[in-house]
Amino acid sequence: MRRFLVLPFLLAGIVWACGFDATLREYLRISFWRPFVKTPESFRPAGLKRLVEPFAGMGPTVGAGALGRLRRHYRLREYDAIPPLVAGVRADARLTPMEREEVELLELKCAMWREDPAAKARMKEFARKSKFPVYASEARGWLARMHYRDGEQSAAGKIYLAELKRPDTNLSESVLTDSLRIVYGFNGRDTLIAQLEDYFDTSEHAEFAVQMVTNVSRRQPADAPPPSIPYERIQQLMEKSRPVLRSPAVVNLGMRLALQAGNPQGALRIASRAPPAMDDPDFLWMLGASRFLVKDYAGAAAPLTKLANSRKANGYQRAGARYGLCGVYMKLGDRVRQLHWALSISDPLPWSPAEDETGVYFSWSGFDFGLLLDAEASIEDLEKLLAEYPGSEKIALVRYSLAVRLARRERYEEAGAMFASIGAKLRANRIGQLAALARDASPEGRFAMAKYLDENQERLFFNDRLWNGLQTYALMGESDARLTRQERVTLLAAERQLRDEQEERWRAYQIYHQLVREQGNTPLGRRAAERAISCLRRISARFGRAAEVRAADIELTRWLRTARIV
Amino acid sequence: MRDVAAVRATARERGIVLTGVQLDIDCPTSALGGYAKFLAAIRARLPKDTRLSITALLDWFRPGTGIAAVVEQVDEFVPQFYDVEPQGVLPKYNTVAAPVVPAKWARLFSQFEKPFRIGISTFGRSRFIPASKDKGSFYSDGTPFDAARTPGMELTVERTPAKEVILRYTAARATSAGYRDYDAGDRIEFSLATPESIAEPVRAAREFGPYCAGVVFFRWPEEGEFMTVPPDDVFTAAGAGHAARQAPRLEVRDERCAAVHCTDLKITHTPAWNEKAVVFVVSVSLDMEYFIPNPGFGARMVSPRRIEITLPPYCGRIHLPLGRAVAAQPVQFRLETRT
Repeated sequence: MRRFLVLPFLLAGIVWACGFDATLREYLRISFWRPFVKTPESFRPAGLKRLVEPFAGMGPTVGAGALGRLRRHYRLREYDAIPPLVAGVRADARLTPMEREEVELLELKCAMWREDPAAKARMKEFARKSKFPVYASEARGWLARMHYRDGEQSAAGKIYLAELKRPDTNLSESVLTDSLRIVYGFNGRDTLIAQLEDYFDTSEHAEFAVQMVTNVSRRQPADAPPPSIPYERIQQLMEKSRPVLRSPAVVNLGMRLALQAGNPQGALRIASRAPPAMDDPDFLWMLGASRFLVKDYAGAAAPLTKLANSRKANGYQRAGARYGLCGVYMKLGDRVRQLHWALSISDPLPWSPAEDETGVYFSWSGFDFGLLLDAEASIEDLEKLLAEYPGSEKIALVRYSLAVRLARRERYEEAGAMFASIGAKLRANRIGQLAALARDASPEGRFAMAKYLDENQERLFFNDRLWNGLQTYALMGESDARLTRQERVTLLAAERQLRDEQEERWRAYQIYHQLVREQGNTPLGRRAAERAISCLRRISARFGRAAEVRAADIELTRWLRTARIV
Repeated sequence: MRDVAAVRATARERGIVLTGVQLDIDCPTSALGGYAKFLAAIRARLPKDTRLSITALLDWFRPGTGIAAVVEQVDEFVPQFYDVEPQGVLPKYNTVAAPVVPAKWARLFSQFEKPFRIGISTFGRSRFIPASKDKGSFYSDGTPFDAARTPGMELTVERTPAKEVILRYTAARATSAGYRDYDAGDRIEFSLATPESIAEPVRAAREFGPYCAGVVFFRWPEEGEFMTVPPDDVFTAAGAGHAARQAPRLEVRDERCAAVHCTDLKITHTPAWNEKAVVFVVSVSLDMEYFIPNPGFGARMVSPRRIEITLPPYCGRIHLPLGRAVAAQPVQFRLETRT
């Protein structure tokens, strides 16, 4: 028994811990249009092959003579045992030049671990003179570590950043990105701001520093104060360092600053001076974002479409652009294109820690898509989508949704055929039966129709391929303050219509109620009243129309009581 | 003692001079002898420059108790003129404060020739009293604001001898609010401190003679607490001029919508202890597109440039989240109060 009790708590705990994405129409928030968040991974070149060799001291210990002994001591972290042996090992004429370098680096590492004050300068010298990239890169890594230890963030960061872009390094990508995270994470941002001037020696360093300082995470809570960004100081530094900065960097960093400062017009002015061929993901995103924010929705479509299809962008950036395009076409009132782009992001992307941090939201809840299919887009929009984008992924889901919508409008024959065409046999059969019942307009026939509706709750008009049981969280027009009045009116009407049309018991009640009116106090009339009351009482509170349901229940109950007496 | 040391350290860090500590222990009257020994032990371990103060139940001062031994161990005592009923028993009359009568108490407190201060309540509470005797009454977490907004509730107001106000909301018919259902005749009673229930004992304290060192207000509201008078109002009621009550203010927060201007509106420093209803009017510089009221507070858009909310008497709320105003252009908001 205890096991059974524990399980629900465990499941509840998991659900609570994971939460679920209930976001909707995120493109109507300014925060959605923030510049991409940059992570250390953002600065790595794609497809770079690095060295994979043992670090100094990590080679074989057996069969390597005196060097093997040194290696063993090092691995056991017996740093004091190494220096007395070094002279002897150096004297070994059999050592290769590479092994000689390894001995030097081992000795240096011991000095570093013993916190020898001269170790840093010696490591720097070693890195400069080393003839073997394996050891040169390792020495640079240790040097960066010593800079970080001594509070020299900019020196450490520059080494890691340079190493990230080198093919002749033995430091792995994850070591370098993790190191950059350690250097710039936690309280690193404050140090970065304090040492900002140090980074304006090259365009690469300046781009890195400005982007890291101007990061505002998408996960930043709405009510938390935004991180302070020293806009003026950055602008002055950029102005002063203009000769150093690459032209795309001037544009991108300028736009980034303007957007983060809440000035999309300023970002657009900077964009107008960009080289015509500029098409990197940052630029395209910020151009689209700025245009959206100044309400030039048509203008936002082009750069976002380019980004949505760009090979230079990562999966998250492309998905973000596609979701942004949903917003663009929502504003332009083009439901077909809105659906097209929503369709392209309706599956979660494979999780990638680096890309997940890039600050792009792409509606993985699928709520936007579900609402479009189920309520916002018209039947004609869905038909146009099928005609214009026949090759879209998930086209079967669109066809299924269209069939549900047709059924709700009592176009049973078409709905049944469409369900059958995509292999939804159960739904096709049920709709077929409904169609047959609908053909009989006699009172008994209508009674049977209502009974069938009542007995097939959520199996006729509810779209069971959407929502994952969370539809209520998507019907939030009442509390959504991001819409214009007209959008709100339209949305609320669509949500109401959806609730009315998909609720089989509500529709059954209406038929029964009509029969009560028509048949009066007859056996059929009384049976219809009984069933109507039963339907009303089983309609979920989520349906709404509480006052109407209650009033109808009271009216029918009173009527039935009187009818039975009479 | 570790706690005392920690408090001292914190006070030192914050530049606060800590002159003493106060123990608030509602010891049974019959156990005062043991309490005196406990206080002696505490006293011995306190630093010499730290004064020891205690709160004291009025019952301790009746004849034949061990109060003298207790007072001997302390530098100061604070008789509590509130919650005089035995603990754990719901009082017949839902009151918190007891009248402060110098003629009755001054001689009893002064006989020890030790400084004392008068403990005055500034908090309130609510109690649900069902019409059916089968159901028991219990303290509830509702506020007068919630009760006033429950349909079918009728209000009667009464004053206690200690000048507290008793708001009695009685369900005239079966009704419900949120998850709670009320049968006809069910009552929610609120006992609330008022400016008079604070001012009167402050005035009376001056008649307690030379050993009366002042008053202690119990207590300040915690975050999200609705029925405790905030410090500004307490000081105003007590006639302490240094903390004039702040006027109601409109807090406006941009919710950063991308395609419209959406703004969260909240009134702070609302007069929570007004005897009469207060109407707040928020004027808007340009037409709003629409307004989404916060559920449960009753703010409404009466015209495209005007939002109104009515505060019931003794509403007990010092912050009112109104809702979200949406406009096509940036707008300004202005708050006016009408009684």
